[in-house]
Amino acid sequence: MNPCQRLPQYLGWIICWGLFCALLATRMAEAREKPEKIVKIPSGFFVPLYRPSEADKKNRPEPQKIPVKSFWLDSHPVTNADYLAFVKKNPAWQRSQVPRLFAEENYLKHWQSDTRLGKQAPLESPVVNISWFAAKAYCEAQGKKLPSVNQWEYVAQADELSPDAASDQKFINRILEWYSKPNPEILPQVSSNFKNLYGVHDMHGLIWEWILDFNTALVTGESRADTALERDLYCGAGSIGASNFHDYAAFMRYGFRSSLKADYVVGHLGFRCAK
Amino acid sequence: MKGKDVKKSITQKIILSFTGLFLTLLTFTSSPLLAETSPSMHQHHHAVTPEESPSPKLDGRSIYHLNSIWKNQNNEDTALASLKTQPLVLAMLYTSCQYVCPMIVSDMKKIEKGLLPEQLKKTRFVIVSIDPERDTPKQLKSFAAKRSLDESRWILLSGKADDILTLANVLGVKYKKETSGDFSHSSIIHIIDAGGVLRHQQFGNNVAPDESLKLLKGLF
Repeated sequence: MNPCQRLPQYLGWIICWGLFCALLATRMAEAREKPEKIVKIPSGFFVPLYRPSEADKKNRPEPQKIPVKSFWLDSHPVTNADYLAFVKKNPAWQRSQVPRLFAEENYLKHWQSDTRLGKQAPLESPVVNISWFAAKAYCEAQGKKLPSVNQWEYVAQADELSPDAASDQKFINRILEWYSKPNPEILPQVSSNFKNLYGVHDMHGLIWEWILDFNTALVTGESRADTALERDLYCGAGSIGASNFHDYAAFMRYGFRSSLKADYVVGHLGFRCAK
Repeated sequence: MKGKDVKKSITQKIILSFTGLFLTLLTFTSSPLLAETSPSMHQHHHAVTPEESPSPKLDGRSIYHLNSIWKNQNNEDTALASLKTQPLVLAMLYTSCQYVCPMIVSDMKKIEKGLLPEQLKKTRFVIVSIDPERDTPKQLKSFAAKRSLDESRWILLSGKADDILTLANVLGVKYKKETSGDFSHSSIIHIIDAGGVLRHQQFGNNVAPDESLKLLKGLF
């Protein structure tokens, strides 16, 4: 049999092999391009902004450092593309389907429709206009959780070079400058700006983020001097007094969190997940 | 005969090749070998539904979109949904609380005293503990006795931390465990209608029950 007669036999195998190689090449290229989507944060110590109690202050005049165990944190906030994939698999969380209990009426208002992003919601921009319930459901669907306030603030205090820049006035001022800028109508892509020592992007400079226990922020006033719990409204077992009066950026975050309710959505409030 | 055999064998080989191609495509579009290094992130393929209620007419704002299961003071499994069809006077607190919680319970009792017997029969007074570690069903039972709570209408619930957090966030209740083991928390009594919609919140302590009673009576 001459080669021409054998060709049909070989054709199938050639196509098979060719496609296999092409697939392999593209998958490997993809894997190389994507930055680590989740980053391991080493364990360490962290001084929470709000000190435990008056009694604790008496016993321990120095601000108390609390341990944070090592955990994994998403390297950037959840994007519109990520969240779109989630609502396609879980239609009960689509804009027209979600019970009002779990998200107020502006939920995903920057999207074109239930399952179309549109111009206001670029694929790789952080998803915003999202409630705590929705963010929590997304993280749980990935086998993860929303980060706790301690986890989030612990990572937030790192700048490009140091794990703890919480007392670095220059760093605080950079953050305050970001906070003072008006929010763009269309948010830029994730991972295109600030990256800290751990390789985590966008802890500052892009959006504010939901945390699991935002409802522990019991600050009632906006002024940084007004840190007392309103005695009539709260049963105060004594959470008063900041440990660092210079970290105004942190005050703003805690103040913002205390103004939130779980069903609220805000145009510059998104989230990321932890494990 | 030989020609036919050759044709058959070529056909077989083409079929085999395309089967192989198909299987290759299948394998490599979901290859674990090429996944990024990360802790295993299991995709939970079941839909995460906010609600699995049998009732077709559940208001969008009803708390019964939550399907948590709790333990009552008799250690019985109590689904949140089992509280449906009755107006609720509800508060989240903890029994070891010495500051304001005793006053919240007294304020709830003021509301209780303001209802007529036939209204009382249809109302449930619910205490949800924010301290499940110490507030076991046994502890809740003892608290109910201490405060002389009529258990035909008072229900005390102990549950899982995540369910407590979710319910608190539905109701706008803030709470924080301090290092001492005590909690700082909101002082609120919630009036919830028979369909599970939050209708009124009474903030603070030692508050006159009038406003809450007015609304509650309107629900019957």
